[in-house]
This record gives sequence, C-alpha cells and structure tokens, in this order.
Amino acid sequence: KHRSKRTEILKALDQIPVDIVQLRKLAIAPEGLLTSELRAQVWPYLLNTVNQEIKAPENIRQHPEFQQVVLDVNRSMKRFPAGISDEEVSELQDQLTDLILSVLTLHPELNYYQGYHDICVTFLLACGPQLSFQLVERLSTHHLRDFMDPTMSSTTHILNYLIPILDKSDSELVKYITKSEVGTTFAISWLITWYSYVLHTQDEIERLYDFFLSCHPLMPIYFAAQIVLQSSEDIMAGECEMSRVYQILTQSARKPNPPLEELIRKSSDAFILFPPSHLAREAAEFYKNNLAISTFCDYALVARHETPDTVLRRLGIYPEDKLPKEKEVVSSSPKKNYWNTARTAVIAVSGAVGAVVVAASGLDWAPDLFN
Amino acid sequence: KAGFTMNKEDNENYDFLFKIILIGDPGVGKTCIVQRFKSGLWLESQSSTIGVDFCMKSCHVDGKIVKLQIWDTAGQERFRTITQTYYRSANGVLCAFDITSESSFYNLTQWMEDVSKYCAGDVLKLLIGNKSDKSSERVVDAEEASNAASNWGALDYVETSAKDNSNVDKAFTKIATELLHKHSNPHLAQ
Repeated sequence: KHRSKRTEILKALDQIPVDIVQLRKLAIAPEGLLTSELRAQVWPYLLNTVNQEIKAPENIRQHPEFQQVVLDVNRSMKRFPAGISDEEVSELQDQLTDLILSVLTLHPELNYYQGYHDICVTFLLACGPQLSFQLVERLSTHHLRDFMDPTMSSTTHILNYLIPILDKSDSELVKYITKSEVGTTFAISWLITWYSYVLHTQDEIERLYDFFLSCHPLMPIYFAAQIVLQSSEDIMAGECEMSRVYQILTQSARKPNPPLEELIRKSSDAFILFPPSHLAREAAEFYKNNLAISTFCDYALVARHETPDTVLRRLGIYPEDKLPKEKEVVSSSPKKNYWNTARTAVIAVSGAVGAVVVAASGLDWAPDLFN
Repeated sequence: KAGFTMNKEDNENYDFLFKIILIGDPGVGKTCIVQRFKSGLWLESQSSTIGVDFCMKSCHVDGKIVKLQIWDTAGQERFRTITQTYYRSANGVLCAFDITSESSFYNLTQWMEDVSKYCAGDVLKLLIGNKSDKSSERVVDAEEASNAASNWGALDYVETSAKDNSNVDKAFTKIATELLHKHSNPHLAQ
C-alpha cells in the first residue's frame, strides 16, 4: 500500500504541468507524503516556491533578534535526531540560526516569536538548509504571517475560533470549559509551532505538516479543536476548575502516539462543515472583537464559491432529498494569492477525506458574512 | 485580592493550595528551576517555553501539606499580554534573573512593574538569582540583588542553581511557608 501511494505521488509529480491538486489530496490522505525525501520534492509545490530562487540576504547576524534566536536555537537540541555527534549538532544549530535570521532580515515586517524556531527545525531536518529557506520564507509570509505581527493580538484572535468550532461538535463541553474560565492560552503553543512543541517525533510532525501545508492557514485551529474534543470525557469527569482543566488540555496534546490520521480526518470534516466564514461572526461575537484579519475575509469570499454544499453535491454524497438549491454566485475579485491557495485547499480536503459526515441535516449552509 | 483554596474535595490530600507564577527574562532558567523542584531532574537541553506551562507540587510546611500550582511563563516580551492574565489570581510571584546576565537583571524593573500593575496588592514576592553554579561568570552582585529585592518589597532574595540543585527547594519552601503563615493567621490574612 505504501508502495502504491509512493507511485501515485511520483506520478503526480511527473505530470506536465505537475498535478498540484492531486499532490494536495495525497498529502492530506492517510500517511501523507510518506517520507522526508518525497516531502522535499512535494512541499515546494504545495507552497508554490518551485520556480522561485530567493537569494539569502547578507549580514544576517546583525539582526536585532540575533541573541533571542541563538538562545532558542541552543535550546532546541531535543528536536535533533538522537545519537548525532557534537559537530553535527553545532552544524545544525548554525544552519537553523542562519535560516531564521535570513527570513527575518529579508522581511523586516516579520517579528520573531519563540516557537517559530520549532517550525524551522522541522523544515531543516526534512529538507536541508537551502530548500528550507525557500519554503520557510513563503510560509512566513503566508500561513505564519499573523503570528509574526508586532504583537500577539492576531494570534489571540485566531485562538478565538477554537470555541465556536468546539461548540458545533460539543456544546456541553463548551459550557463546561467556559465555566472553568480556562481560556484558550493552553492552545497557543500548539498553534504557533504547528504542534512541533508537543508532538514527540519528527515523523509525526512532518506528517502533520503535509496536512497543514495543503490546507487553509486556519486548519491548525480546527486540529486543536479535535484534540480538545478527544479529551472531552476526561475534562468533564472532574471538578470544573481552571488549573485542572488547563492541565488536562495541555497534556492531551502531549500524549505519545496520538491518533494523527483520525484527528486529521476529523479536522478536515469540521473545516468543510463549518468553514471559517461561518465561524467568523460567532468568533467575533463570542469575544466581542472586530474582524481584523484580512485573510479571513479573503477566505470568506472563496467560501462563497466553494460552499460545502457545492462540494458535497459534486462528491455525490449529499442526501438527494436534502439537496439545497443552487445559489447564484456573484463574482468578486479577492486577493489573487490567497484565493488560489484556499480554493485548492477546499477541493483537496473534500477530495481526500471522502467521508464527510452529513448527519446534521438541519445545518444552515448559507455563508453569513456576505449576505 | 487573590483568593486561595483550603482543603478542596480532591483525590489528593492537602491543607492549602496556592498559585505561584514564575516570571523573568528568556533563558534565565525558569523552567529548569520548576523541573528541578517538581521532579528533582535537570535537563541540559530544556526547550524554550512557549505560552504558559503548568505543574503542581506538594510540600510539607509546619506539619501541613501545601500544594503549589506553578505557572511557568514564556520570557519573550511579546508573550506578556498573554501571561499577564495569570498574574491576577496568583498568591505568589517568583521573579527570576540570571546572575551571569546583566540585562536579565536590569529588565527586572519591567517585570516588577508588571507585578504591581496586574497582581493582587497582597501578592507575596520572591527574587531569584539563578545559575549560581557559574560563579566565575557572575556579573550581578549578590548585595545589589538583595537590595533590589527589598526595594521591591520582596520576602527575600535567593540565589539558586537548578543545575547543582542548590537552594531550589529553599526558594519554594520559603514562599510556601510565608503564604501558609499569612493565610492561616486570620489577622494577617487581611
């Protein structure tokens, strides 16, 4: 099975032009892209960096964050392969420092955060220093962009999506969590490191990155919701007290051998059933915040074109009698970059998952932001 | 005023429960201090804390079991808006710097300001100078640190080494003891 998937991946890479939609599907589907060697070939397509050859800037060690970066790099040995020599450790550390500082120097608008180094380690180990620079540069200006603002307010805002997603699946749990006043801080390290802070092996982390790189930048928060949902019973089994709930939640992501494939499948389902555009208003209302992140609006425009019912209808899994009427789609001109990425992501997710749960027939599909 | 909890219904027995927050610049050894206290271990390659980590540890003080909830925070400036939410309910603050890092000592001013802004007025404070094992690299004078602690209104200044397991238990026991005294004496509890 492993071999036939490998063949499929290589086949998609061999197409002219390369079949990126198929690559996304394969990256999301069980076991993802299988090996680091294949990832180094496919990730550039997922991030659209194939024909890009950005030159690393000079004088990177004069960057004002140099000391902070070195401090974190020196403390990331836990992530390195076991049993490598001291020379190899210091070589990797130098490469990691250079990788981070190169991106930061090239993009003065990006602010370093503790945890960014954890993401960079993943790329460095999977793809080596040169390719990692191209990939991380793109990732930092897209998926990770909001985390790299001067302050963490956008990050906090993204965390606000967690509760509405949870609420769709388990409103009792949300009542409990809200009552405990635990907040959403427990998930911040999950989100901004793409789980490399809590997962135990590089293989697991790379597999998860296959998924995230193929999807909308908000997918990591859908994934967080699935982790929380898995611990629902434990959470509700004891006293409704903040530190207890906090501890269960932080530990839930650190359990060894997490059911990654199941979590990925459920996150994909949740994303299709409750896309960001549907949650945006709830997230904003829930926290009485403003909609501040432009990418969300970009995505909402996409969702208008690719609402779940269109996806489900195309896949032929929408129950015949519950088939909603086609909505007329008004064309608009969203930012090109995001439009393409997000649109492919929805198609890829729906194609790869295969078994979207349509049990909740009373769901309202209408995109609520632009009506 | 931060509340405290006495003998809650829990599987574990304890007489008092206090919340402690651990703050200070990145890399001064906050997590190493907590790990040493919690499990007696020292990790050469302790990774940077992202956000806020949490652990619990009970200790015996004056024949009572005192349970400490320790909130271990990320040191980078941008995390402050997030960690500050944990100040409000803290009964005690451990503020740490690195005796081999001048900047971590100077930045105490900012940390102390945050404490007075966001903590309860009656919060108990302790100043910790970590990495005392690196005495040859010392750049912060113990007396100067001690003065800073008393100017701040801290209980004490303690020099620790998480690596050599020096004074770590003492620091936690100190704050646990003072918290116990404060909360078991109804006159002082005001």
